[in-house]
Amino acid sequence: MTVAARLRRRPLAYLASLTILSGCTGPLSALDPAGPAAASTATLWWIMFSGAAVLSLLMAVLVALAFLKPGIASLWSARSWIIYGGLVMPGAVLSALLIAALVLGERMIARPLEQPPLKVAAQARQWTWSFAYPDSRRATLSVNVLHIPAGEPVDVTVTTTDVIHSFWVPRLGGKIDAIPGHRNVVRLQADRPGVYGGVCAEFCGAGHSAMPFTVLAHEPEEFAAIMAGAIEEARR
Amino acid sequence: MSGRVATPLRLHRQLNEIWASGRGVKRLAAVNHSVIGTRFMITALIFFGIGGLLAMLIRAQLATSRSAFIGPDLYNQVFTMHGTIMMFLFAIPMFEGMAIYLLPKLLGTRDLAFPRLGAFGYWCYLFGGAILIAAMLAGAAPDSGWFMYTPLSSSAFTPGVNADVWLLGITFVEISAVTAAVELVVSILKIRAPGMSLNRMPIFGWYVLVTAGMMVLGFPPLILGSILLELERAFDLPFFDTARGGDALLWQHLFWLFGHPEVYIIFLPAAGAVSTILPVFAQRELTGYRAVVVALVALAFLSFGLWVHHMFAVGIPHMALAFFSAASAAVTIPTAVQIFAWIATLAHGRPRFDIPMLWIFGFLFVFILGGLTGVMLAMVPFNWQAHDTQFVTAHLHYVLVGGFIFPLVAALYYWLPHIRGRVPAFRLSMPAFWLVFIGFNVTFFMMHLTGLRGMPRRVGTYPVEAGWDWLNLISSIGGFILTMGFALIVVDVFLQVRYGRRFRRNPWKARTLEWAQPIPPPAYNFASLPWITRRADTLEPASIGPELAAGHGYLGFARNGWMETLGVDITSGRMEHVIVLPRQTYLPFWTALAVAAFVLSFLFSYYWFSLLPLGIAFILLLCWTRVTGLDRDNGPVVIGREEIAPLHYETHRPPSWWGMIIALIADAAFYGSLVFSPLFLWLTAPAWPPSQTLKSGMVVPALLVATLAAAPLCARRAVALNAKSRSPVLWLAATAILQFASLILLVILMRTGLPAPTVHAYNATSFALLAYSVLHTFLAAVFSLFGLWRVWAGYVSARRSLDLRIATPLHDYTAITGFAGIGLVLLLPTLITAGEAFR
Amino acid sequence: MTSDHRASASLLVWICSGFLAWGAAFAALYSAQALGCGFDWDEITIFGSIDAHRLLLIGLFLLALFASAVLARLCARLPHRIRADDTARFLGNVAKLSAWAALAATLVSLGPVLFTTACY
Ligand code: HEM
Ligand SMILES: [Cu+2]
Ligand SMILES: [Cu+2]
Repeated sequence: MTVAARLRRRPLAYLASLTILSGCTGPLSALDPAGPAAASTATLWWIMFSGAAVLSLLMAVLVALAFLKPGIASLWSARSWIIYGGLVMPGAVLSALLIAALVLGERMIARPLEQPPLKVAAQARQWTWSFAYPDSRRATLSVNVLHIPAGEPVDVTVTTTDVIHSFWVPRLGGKIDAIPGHRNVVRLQADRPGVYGGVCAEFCGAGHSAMPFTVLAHEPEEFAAIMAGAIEEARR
Repeated sequence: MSGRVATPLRLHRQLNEIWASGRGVKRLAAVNHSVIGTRFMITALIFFGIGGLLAMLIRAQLATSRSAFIGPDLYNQVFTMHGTIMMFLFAIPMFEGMAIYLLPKLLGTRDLAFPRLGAFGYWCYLFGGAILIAAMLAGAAPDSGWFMYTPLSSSAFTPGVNADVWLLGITFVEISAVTAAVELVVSILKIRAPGMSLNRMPIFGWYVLVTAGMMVLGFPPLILGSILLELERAFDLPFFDTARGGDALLWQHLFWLFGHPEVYIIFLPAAGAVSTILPVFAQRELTGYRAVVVALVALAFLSFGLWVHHMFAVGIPHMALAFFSAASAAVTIPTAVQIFAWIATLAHGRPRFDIPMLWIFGFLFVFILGGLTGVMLAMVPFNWQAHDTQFVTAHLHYVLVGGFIFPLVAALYYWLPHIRGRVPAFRLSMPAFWLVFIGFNVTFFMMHLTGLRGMPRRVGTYPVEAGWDWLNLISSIGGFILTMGFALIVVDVFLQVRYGRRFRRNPWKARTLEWAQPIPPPAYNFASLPWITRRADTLEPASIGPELAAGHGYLGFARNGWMETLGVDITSGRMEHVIVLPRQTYLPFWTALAVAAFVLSFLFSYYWFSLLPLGIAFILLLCWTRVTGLDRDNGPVVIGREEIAPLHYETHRPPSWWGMIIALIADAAFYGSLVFSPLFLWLTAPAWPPSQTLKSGMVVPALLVATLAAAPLCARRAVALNAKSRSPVLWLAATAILQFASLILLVILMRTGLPAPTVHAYNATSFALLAYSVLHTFLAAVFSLFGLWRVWAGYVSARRSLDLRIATPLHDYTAITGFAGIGLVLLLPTLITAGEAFR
Repeated sequence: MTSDHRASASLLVWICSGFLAWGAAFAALYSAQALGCGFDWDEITIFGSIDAHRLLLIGLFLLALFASAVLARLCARLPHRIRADDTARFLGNVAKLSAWAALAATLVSLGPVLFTTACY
């Protein structure tokens, strides 16, 4: 669905967004993932969210117990409160979470692959994004619109010509900063063809609020055609 | 005079005569900790009001999409000033005020170690804050966000004065943070009631000790960063300019090396207040006192190993991120230990309810949620999504408002009766709590979701299609409920202060020393000082109070018009000496005013002119020493309870000696960050190696090493001779000459060997390293000359040798940092060539 | 008088010692990681999938663990060594517990050298 189509159907979407179920969807929602990186991060979030809900409830119960029924709460010695509550419980929860998150992070970083993924370059400037495609034979360039093939990983090299910006497509994956003099790479993948919103996440001056871009994920053939020179048509 | 028994009233009059601050204009000369502490707190609360108003502007702007309420230029100033004010002009000074006001009372003494320094710190804070507010009213407020990332804050992208206001104003304010930190550390270690060993100290003392220690190490990196950035803006030294060998990431490292400890510096004292108040309402002393102390130590150190979690998205390799992620997870454990110590205290006590408890419950609820989202953000993959979004804004307010404001209000309701001697007549605090609690959660809970739905932080407008409208609207409504709650608290406090019921002593049945004071507390705190034989949160204020007021404790008399209090051994609390504190003086005020003049002239780019007020400030600082000291040996004096003790002038290590040590530790943290800078740039900055490096030959460096090394030896010789009652004059003069010689050699090295500092960051950092040593040789020389003057004026004898000994650590430090600096500057070119060959 | 002062201050230094060692180890590993990536030490294979960089990092990690463990042992003896008074015993105990906490912190915060990617 294109942005325009979304816009046309906005009233409906608007109503829908008021219901709690779809509270997580949206053109820029990290909880409405459309690629593996964003999906596993969303899963991580839901796990952490449930864990946090349980833990905060538990803490509320414990505080209430200690205050309202000290007779019961004092069955445990002060020492065991501190050791089991303060050391053992958080120690166990945190170790499990930390290991899971690090393993997940290992899967997401842009380290070299057997078959090198497609490379595209994103260059930020106050306050636009321009995208180049070093892997395509013709020098193609697009402004505020990034074309990628769907269903395969893409390495986006992010640079800047002025201040720090940050490249973020919430539905596809995490963000990476564009820092003067540095070339940072983020690996993204869109599972299906579609339109994905992106924003500049790092404060970059007066135009920071108005520095969005779109990622258009195409079927591989379509993408090849665009790279071959049909860029005008895709830009619309 | 000593020996004569005075009635409590007569004693009160005599002591008040000495200790009370004057009225009217004389108020500017006040140095008393109660006055200074109260000033800090009231000023901080005013800044909180201003920051809160700015927050309302932000929420008004964000209430709807495509809002046209304030434009981007103004909006950027508004959120930058909100963050800056809340962090630097409210939270930290509020803590300082609380600690300055409360500590001597909790520790059973009359004042802090360096009263004039406290007063000076307050004026620095006030003037620095005023400069920021004035700039805001003039429409030239900083607008690069509270962490001032370069190059957005560099002159290329912020050509106006906005960023200079931040850099100079905040550094000015930070002076007060560092002076307060030094003062607090030394006071806690040296000035307690006799018998109050560290394990008998009220837990609040530990919290402040640890927090102040963190400030000693945590603020210098920011001060260094600000100075470097200001040098870049004013004189074009390229520390952060990528094209000339600088790196924007250097700023981020320096900033967050300060910035993360900063949030714990804000949280810990509030937790200390909880650890003090909660046991009172649990009606038993804090359980797990030792566990809490260990937790504090762990927290203090770990908090310095977390800073990169603010930089997970800057492109640092995963392994390094993992170190910081794991450390960030680990830091929750000491916090959990504290929370469970509180729960256990309630469980093993007889809990009762009162208003402060309500706020503590609010604190626990909100802060725990903030801690949980903190753990989430510490997980690298999730951070990549949530970083720099409204989720972070939500998290930071859960920990800052939950971890600081809620305990603060609890503390306010708890200690207000102590400060003003009245208990509340109305119960507005109840509805106020619920307004704040509900308003807060409505405002900020939504922001988690707004962030996850893709809304970055620091945006002033957003498109309708994004679907963030209803969440933001709810947040904004919550914000106004929250404000109403705060307004109600203000009304309630006003009513309590004006119309509250008077009471005599200890409304909460607390068992710490401050409740043994007459209420409201007199300027001298205790008519005589207590002696402590058990943990000082299990005392009986009702019986101690009258005894102290009758002068049965230590120093229960007025002598020579001296402001006297007792100094003790650091750990055991054994009585050591009588400290004679300096009296009321205008000097701190004038000195701060001179510094303010310096800051302002620098701000308006009158660089040469600015040296004048700087010189005046320096001379005024020297004048501080005129009133201290004894011109003859005095011997031990009577201190009451049939004991005698020497005066601090005649002891080995009085507070001022420790003050020098702690100040040098802060200085070392500063220097460490400075040394880190070229090494970091060499490794990561793109435009390296530099085309030209230092060319000096070996003569000047060799001479420098000799003079630097000789100075401390001469200084030691002077001290040794003086101890044998022989004249140290020659050796003191030699020390001064050697330090000046080092200074000149350093300048020669800078002028002849070093390529122009504006060309490359290598040159600029080398310049900074050498300039640092120039400054220190100058200071060390001045200390030697000061020693000469003191000898000449008769303030020094074998017994009264502090004026000479206090300089020894400084001479040593100057030599060590001098060697390190020259070594680094000389070695770096070799390192660079070797590295290039390797690469 | 002087020796007393030393004893007093030294207990406070002992309390910090464990975490000072942790800080040193943390700084050393972070620098070694950055240096190794800067100079491509990860491209020098030693055997199998182990490269020079990782070998160095793991070596430093083990060294840090060893140093922390030694410190923890030393601190654990403090409370016994000092019979003097309850203050010294208290501080000795705090030093002991802090040192153990620092050992745990070293293990947790630097453990990732074992399995995370060093230069991407
Ligand atoms: C009392 C009610 C408060 C409200 C309603 C409020 C609201 C806000 C809002 C709406 C933002 C801007 C979010 C964005 O777009 O980035 C913000 C930023 C911030 N707030 Fe608050 N805030 C409050 C209190 C505090 C307190 C007590 C502190 C600290 C002690 C604080 C520290 C900050 C900081 C550091 C920022 C970030 C500024 C920046 O991005 O440069 N706030 N606050
Ligand atoms: Cu931006
Ligand atoms: Cu942090």
